[in-house]
Amino acid sequence: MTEREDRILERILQEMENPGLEDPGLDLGGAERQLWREYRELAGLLPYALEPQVPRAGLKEEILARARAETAGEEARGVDEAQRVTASSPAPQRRRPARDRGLRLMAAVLAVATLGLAVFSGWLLRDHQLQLEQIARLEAALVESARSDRGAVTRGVALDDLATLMASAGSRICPLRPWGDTPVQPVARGAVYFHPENKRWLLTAKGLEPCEQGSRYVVWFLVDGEAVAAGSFAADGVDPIIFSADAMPEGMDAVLLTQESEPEVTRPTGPTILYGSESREML
Amino acid sequence: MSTPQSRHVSVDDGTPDVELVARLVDGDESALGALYDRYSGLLMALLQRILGASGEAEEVLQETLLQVWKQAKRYDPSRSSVSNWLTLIARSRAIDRLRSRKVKERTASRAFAENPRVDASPEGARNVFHAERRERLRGALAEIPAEQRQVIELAFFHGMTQSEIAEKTATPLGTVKTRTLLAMKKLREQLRSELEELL
Repeated sequence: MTEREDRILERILQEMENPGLEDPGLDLGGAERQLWREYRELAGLLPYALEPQVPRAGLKEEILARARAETAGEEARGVDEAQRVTASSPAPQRRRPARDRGLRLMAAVLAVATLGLAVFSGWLLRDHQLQLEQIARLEAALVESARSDRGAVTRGVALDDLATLMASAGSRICPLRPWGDTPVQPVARGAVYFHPENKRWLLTAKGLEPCEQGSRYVVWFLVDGEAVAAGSFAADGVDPIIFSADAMPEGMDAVLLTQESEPEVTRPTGPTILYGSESREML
Repeated sequence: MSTPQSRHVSVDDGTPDVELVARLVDGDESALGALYDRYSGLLMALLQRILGASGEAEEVLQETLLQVWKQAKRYDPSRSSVSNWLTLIARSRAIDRLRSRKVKERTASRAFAENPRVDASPEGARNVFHAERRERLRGALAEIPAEQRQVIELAFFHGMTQSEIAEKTATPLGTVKTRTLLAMKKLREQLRSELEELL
């Protein structure tokens, strides 16, 4: 019991350290899952020890206005989509009377714009330099990759994808870092570039150790706590790795790179090499 | 075993949390307002504890509730209670900000037990359910040794890894891990009835 409980607790601590991660690689049975759930709830109870803090007046109305704007935006997109796809499709169910929608949307947009402007200007200044540095590093990696003879055709396609992603407005970058307190490959680094709308994505990684015979690196996307396999590759001495595969699933929360000895694995079972859950928009 | 619906009843209008989340899926804005009324005090306390500046805490509170609004259909009652779901979303976003802005050191020196909030809110005081839970939590935390309380504080409210805690407190990593595990086990024992309400 103690050993199992310790293992579950260490899992909870890993989740605390890596928000967004949920039980990848840990196949919990009924009793273990119950224990995991209890400790997870216990962590969620900790803020109750704090004295409640009342948000400023008006915040609730701002949040509701933004929610309204989100809904209106979704409805507008739904209408556009319906008109594009088929004129005979049934119209999406409305949440608000049509005549109110314009006014509500306008009010919401104004509220959001006012709030957003102040935040956005500060954000731009802060992230600009970081993104310039990231782009410079990528350019260096591209040059290095272009000089490599190995896998030139495949890498050429991947490089083209990377260049397209980098040039596309709205593309995001999710840095990948070694996993855990005692990483299996501490010098490995990586990033996933993706576009949230067209779902194109591409992974770059540097410093990965070559795979042993029969093993491969597997890319996983975490969606609602479930790991979805996104492709695999063998790092046979090529560095940096540039890898892309099918479209990214909807609602991706985090990215894992594991090293697997079984070729057709359906859940992460090997050691986690890289992990990332935070993404930001590229310039 | 009781379902969340039957046990986790709100203290304001009696609507269970899970029902409010179900109404969010249907686009019911009033349900979002009800969740705000019920949990904004708790979430703001958590976010201010993590981020310090109230302006930033408010931004994250907005982001959290908008995420809940947009992703309500993802909520899985078998995975967590609604309060736990909200709390962990808010914490996750706050820790992301904390790490990305590299302000961890600015706030990490504040000890959990040594810096209690004293500006009690009238709304919080009215919320009998939360007040009672707060007292039980504080009682449980008071029962564990200060060094164990400290590691829980640094891990949960400051998003520090076990290695970072070891470095900050000049304590061997193994000791930090042992303290953390012991603290969680003791809290689980002391808060068993509280947990049963959530499961």
